[in-house]
Amino acid sequence: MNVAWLARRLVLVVPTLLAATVVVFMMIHLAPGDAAQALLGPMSASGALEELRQELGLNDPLPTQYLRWLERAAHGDLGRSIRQQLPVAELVKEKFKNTAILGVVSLTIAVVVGLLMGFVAALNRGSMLDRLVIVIASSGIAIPSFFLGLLLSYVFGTRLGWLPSSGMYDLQGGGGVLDLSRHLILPAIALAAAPIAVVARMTRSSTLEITGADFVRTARSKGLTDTSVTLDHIAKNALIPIIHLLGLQAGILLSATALVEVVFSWPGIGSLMVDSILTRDLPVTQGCVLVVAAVYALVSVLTDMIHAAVDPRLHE
Amino acid sequence: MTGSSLAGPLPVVGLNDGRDREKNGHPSPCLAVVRTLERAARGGPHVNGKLLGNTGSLSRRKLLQGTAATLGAVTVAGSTSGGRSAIAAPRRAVRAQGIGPDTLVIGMEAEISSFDPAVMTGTSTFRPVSSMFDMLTNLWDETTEIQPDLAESWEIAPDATSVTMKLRPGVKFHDGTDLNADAVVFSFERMLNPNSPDYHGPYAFPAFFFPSYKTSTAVDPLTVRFDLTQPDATFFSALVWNTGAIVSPTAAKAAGKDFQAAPVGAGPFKFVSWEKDVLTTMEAFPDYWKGAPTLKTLLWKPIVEEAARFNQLLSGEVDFIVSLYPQFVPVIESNPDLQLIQGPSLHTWWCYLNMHFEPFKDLKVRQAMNHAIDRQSLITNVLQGTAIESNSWSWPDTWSFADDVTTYEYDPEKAKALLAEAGYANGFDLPYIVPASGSGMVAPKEIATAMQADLAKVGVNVQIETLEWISYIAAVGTGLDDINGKQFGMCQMSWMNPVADPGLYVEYVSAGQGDALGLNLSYYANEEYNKLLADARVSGDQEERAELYKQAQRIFADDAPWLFMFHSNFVTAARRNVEGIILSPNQNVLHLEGVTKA
Repeated sequence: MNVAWLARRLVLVVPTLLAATVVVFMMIHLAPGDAAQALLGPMSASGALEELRQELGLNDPLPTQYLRWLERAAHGDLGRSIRQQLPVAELVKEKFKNTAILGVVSLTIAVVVGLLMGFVAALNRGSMLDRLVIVIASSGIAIPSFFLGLLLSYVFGTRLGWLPSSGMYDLQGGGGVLDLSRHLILPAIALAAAPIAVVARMTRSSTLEITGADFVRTARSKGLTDTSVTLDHIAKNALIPIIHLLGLQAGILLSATALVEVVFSWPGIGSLMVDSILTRDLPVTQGCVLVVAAVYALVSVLTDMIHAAVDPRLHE
Repeated sequence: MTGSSLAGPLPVVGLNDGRDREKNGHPSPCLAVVRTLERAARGGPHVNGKLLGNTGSLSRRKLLQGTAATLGAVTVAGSTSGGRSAIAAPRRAVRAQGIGPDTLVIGMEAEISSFDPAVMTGTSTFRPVSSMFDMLTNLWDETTEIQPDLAESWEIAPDATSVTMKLRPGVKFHDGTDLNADAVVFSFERMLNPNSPDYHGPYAFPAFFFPSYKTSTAVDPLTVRFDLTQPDATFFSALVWNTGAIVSPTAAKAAGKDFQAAPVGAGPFKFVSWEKDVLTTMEAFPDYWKGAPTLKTLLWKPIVEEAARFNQLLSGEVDFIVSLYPQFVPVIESNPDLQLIQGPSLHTWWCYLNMHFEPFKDLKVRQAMNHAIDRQSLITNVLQGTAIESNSWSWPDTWSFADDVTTYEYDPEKAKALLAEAGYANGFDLPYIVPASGSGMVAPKEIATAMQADLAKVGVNVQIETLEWISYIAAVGTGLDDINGKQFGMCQMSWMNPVADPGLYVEYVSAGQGDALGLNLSYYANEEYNKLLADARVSGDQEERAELYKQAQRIFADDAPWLFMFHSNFVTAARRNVEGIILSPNQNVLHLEGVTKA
């Protein structure tokens, strides 16, 4: 892995971002209703609509509107939201931080629990434990995160009162890590359920494959201890496809977070995006898409880098 | 297992439907035990959920609660329907999140769109912001008469070209400056006069609410005169729209474009902070002209997801919510920790019958449609009793209401006969477009499905299409004849009026023609009717206006260009310990200055 390769990969991120913003821009305009109609609601069937559209610049041809946005974005100015004239860059940055917290914690839970579950299942193949893991994994994928979130929020928040059922911090509390952690638990579990399942299954099958491989048989016949075989040989090799999977999951998590954020009133970029689409607040939507696409692209580069570092076969 | 030994002296007088319904639907003995225990835990006879008689027997109540808890636990352990019995265990109170008894936490259905009256859009913003800004006039409690607020008295010119308001003396803004005629003039000029140096538009609503505003003048420090571009009797009524809130000129001038970041009004609470999508904090304004509010702090939480908002009321994380799905109503009514607070409101909900759609060109068919819907059943079963039947765009017990219009009782036989007379003995297909949700429309899809069933009984085959709210508005806004190439026969709409003056909306929804169709999605075109409405708009005499509107209602009911549906109540829910919330028929305002938490 060398600098040229890295530079090439990073440069490719730019067209990806452009493409993402163009696609989203077009899709939003395919949906009926624009920001002026969103502002006026049922009163938009009046003369007020045209006036507002004019003042908001919504009557300009689409390419003009897009290029206007692009030009400013290229200079770091993501404009202001149509609704409250809030600077989009700040808004998106603030909300993304919140999503990042949730996402990183969820991903960590997913990785740790998923890997453990997968390894344990594979190494005890056929046993009750293995079957249990498969069942849990299947449920994790089958239950929608939205529903799981509502369920967790209702049971542990509303009914039992053990954990707060929404928000990032207590309303009049002091903030702080403990406060945040209490609020993180339920949404992180809801968000991690599907990735845990995917990681567990993947880990299990990858481990099983490796366990049956020649080099493992060789290692065992050399007389190495089970632990040594497991850790040095099986684990390291099984990890490779999982690294790619994690990269993918990180990206998926970014979009899946929207549902969980809405359920738990978590003020992240997912719920910001949903809200901006429902109110047709295009500058905000574009800002969100830009950030999400950038993160996704960068995670992808990072994944490749880690893979290259871990897999000796890729060392040039 | 029966818990009858704990039933005690609990006649539970006059309890509502919710519990009876539950008993009928769930004959499980375990649930019966649960209910008995819960009643025992509440410790006393009740009427309509309010505890009668001796509420002070804490020790007895505690004993009963403790026993209930133990028995609940035993029930959980020993019962076969284990999952359901888990509900018997008394809920642990959520850690109060540092909320004291002088703080009210309100769950909102949407984030506030702006704190600037000029910019505000929609009821979900009007309601919270109404605690920060007072208006010249307002509604109060159950009456629909316009009440003095910042204005003590007023005069409407007989030719309806001007309105003069006399202001209350001694009112202060949150920043200590005086509220006088100059402030009122400033508040209106800044949002309606694009040439004003304080205009930082574009503004969506002011022009819509005050279309005939020309100028305003401070006649003397406590008197304002509004001059209109044309005779318009509705201008005075329109002053109750939250957009007419009075802002502090000092603060607005200083803040310029960013007034909404530091809004200053004269309402009972003042702005403290706003964290978008997280929390809005307001605190009491001790120099409020009606006296300092009884609460110290208001915390407004946006909780967009319906179920999550309701769950937080259940757990006590919020004290009060203003928008709720009708299915939650029986749950609230049967829960001792919660109370339903509702009142009549100036809300109308109807379906347009597109008179360009072939079957609806015939009056008999439109009459048949009205006869075919069992509105009472919809109100009871879908809306859980939170609405009354509507036969017009005016509201019962208001000055413009005609109580002698033609009404269409539920009569499917008559509907079928009328259809047959019109040549539709075999019915017809009816494309019906419906919003998935929408401001003022509670459960539109469920209502649509129920209507579909009613209409199927008379042979009308309804095909429902659903659209997200803004997409719906955009789709129907230009008429029902060509929505992506398809003609629709029917669609839903609702309107929340702030005062009992139909003139604020009736022409917009039923009289527009051609290019100025507005929301007259029925394409109703009756010259006599339009003239009555136009005359009512320009007359400065309320009695004359009332007669004109009544006559218009009679014609409208006879012509049935709408499927008349409901007037929804203003429905809110709060924790049992919250007292003093005052609603009014104006759903855009909440009066929270007298609230206490026991």
